[in-house]
Amino acid sequence: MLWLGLHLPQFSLEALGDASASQVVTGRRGARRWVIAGAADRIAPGTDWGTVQVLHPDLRAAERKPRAERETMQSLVAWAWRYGSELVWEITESELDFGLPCALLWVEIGASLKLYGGLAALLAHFDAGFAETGHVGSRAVAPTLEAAALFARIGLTEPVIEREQLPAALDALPLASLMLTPRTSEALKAIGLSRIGELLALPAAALGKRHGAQLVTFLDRLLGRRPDVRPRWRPPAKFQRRIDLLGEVEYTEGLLFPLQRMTRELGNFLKARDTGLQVFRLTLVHGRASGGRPQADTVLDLRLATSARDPERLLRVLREQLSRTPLPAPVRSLRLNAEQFIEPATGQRDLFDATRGDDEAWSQLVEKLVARLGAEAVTSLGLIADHRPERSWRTRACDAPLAEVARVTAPPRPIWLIDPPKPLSTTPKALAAAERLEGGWWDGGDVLRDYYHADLHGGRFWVFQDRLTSAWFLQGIWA
Amino acid sequence: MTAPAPSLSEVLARPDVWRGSDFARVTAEPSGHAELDRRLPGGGWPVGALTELFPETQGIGEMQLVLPWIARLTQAGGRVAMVDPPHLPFAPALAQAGIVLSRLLLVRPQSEDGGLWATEQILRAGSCGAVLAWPGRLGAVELKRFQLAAETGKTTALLFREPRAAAEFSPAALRLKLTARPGGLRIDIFKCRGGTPTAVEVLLPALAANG
Repeated sequence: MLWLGLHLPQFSLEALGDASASQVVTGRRGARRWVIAGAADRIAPGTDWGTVQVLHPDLRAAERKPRAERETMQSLVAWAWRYGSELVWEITESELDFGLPCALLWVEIGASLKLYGGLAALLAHFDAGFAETGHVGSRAVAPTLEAAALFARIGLTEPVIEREQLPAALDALPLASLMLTPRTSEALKAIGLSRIGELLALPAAALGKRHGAQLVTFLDRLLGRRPDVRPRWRPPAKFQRRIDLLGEVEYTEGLLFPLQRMTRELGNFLKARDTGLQVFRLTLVHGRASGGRPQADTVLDLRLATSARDPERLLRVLREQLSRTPLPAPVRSLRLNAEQFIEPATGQRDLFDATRGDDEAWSQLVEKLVARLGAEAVTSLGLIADHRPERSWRTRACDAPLAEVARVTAPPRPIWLIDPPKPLSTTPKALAAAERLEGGWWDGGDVLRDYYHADLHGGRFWVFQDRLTSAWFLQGIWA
Repeated sequence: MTAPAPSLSEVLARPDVWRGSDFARVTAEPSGHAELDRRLPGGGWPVGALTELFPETQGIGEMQLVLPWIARLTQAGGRVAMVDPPHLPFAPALAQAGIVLSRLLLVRPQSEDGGLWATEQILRAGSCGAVLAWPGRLGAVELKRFQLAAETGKTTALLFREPRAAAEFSPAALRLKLTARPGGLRIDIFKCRGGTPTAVEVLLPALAANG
């Protein structure tokens, strides 16, 4: 086992979904309120909120959101899944340090070393990928969970590969970095210990008697002498993500940043499950409308031409759809849901096929057009086996499967169709090429018509006379 | 000690030497009308550039002029987009002309702006071999954008425009004025990148048969 441990000190802030520099997260116990994350360059975690308000009046405080933290962790774990199949995560509150939350994520990378071409290559890949997730954290590599967490917390990035190297690596570290309970650490300090090495040198049985079996178990797990079994992460069955905006957003442009984050997380989710999607839903939860009435949620159902998992593409479709959706009221939070997954058609490709990628580009273009102009404005055409001109064609969705069954056996037809036919007030002149069309009694669209070619105002037209009413109509233009 | 004088081929290979004949190298798609192709540089509709058509009125055979090319393109597996046509294209007539309907994209936006946007997107994407568009009023800025988009996507763009717009400046590679003639069209090639302006008469048999 080789664990990559990741410690995320600002996680409770990152989970809020707002990365502005003036946002801090506070903890509260009774009347006491203190900073637990945010503005790390100006104030230390644990500072009293009252003090902070005096020193930095521009900072805004928010409470922790445990659900948002869990959801954010889920997406981060989904991202990290590419580095190993066994993952463990924890969000705990330490008893020391003013109850600061501690977010930890472990990936078992021992089995993936060969795939990535060695530890150095894997770590380089991991660091580059982690920088893109937008989180802040430090990572360490160690053969046990506890050691990886400890090294990550104190920022010891040099990997420790073998279990035998652990005591040496731990030896000089201060005892405080173990995050023991206040009672135990006080007691150990009282007997004159300050380094982990000194603690490890003590006989285990005596330690157990004096400080409880818990400490011995912890040390055994730290050194890998005892197995450390924790529940492994399983990929969830569906994607659900909610971001509560910190303020109300009135323009769609303001939604792009959180949406970008959501689609990136959705992309990670899809990649982790090795699948794609064609349908997903964005719900905009509104604040109160101008009249003070509660405003119903705006629900956007999005459809892709083909199954996809590329976050850029998902975002593009969202953006086009949003740009033509007026916001009835300011938006308070966003929800992104996806439940149906379809594996993207990656297909077998010919090595020398010059047209590859063409279909992909095509479906992306159609998606873009449909998202902005609407599905009814972007179509293809098809034929219907019917001799009545207005019923001999139909529009077809661009991604609809092709079933070209009808064939045209009629005399020449004009390029442009006037639909519905336009009544003519006068009888057209220069008539030629008569054609009689009858029928349609079977579906109520009965026609009795004589068709002619006619010249009107220099153009060539296709006109007909209704034989029941003798009225003339214009139905087509030759061009 | 002087360097030996460079040979002519060495001079011509220099990147800062430009030759007039380079501009005449036009990639084009045959229109399917031999008389017209002979007079167009590259022998047809220029690829990756704008072509503007100015029919004197609607319905004089402007579609018959382009249909043979569209038919060949779709039969070869290419895609064609029609953006904002003045009327509904009649599917049976298109099929009669040999066009594979499933390779045809019809865009009928609600607004003129939507049409301009769609035209530019399709030109830029390059997944359609040809775009036939009927834009309304077009400024120099839009035309320039179309031109750049067509270059990016290597798409052949045919714009059908009102005759009065022929007097305006345009970055299009090819500009044609179409006038009705018995059984055909007279085509004034009044701007032609890489060629010389000229005029030609084209017979359109399909039109003649219907007339």
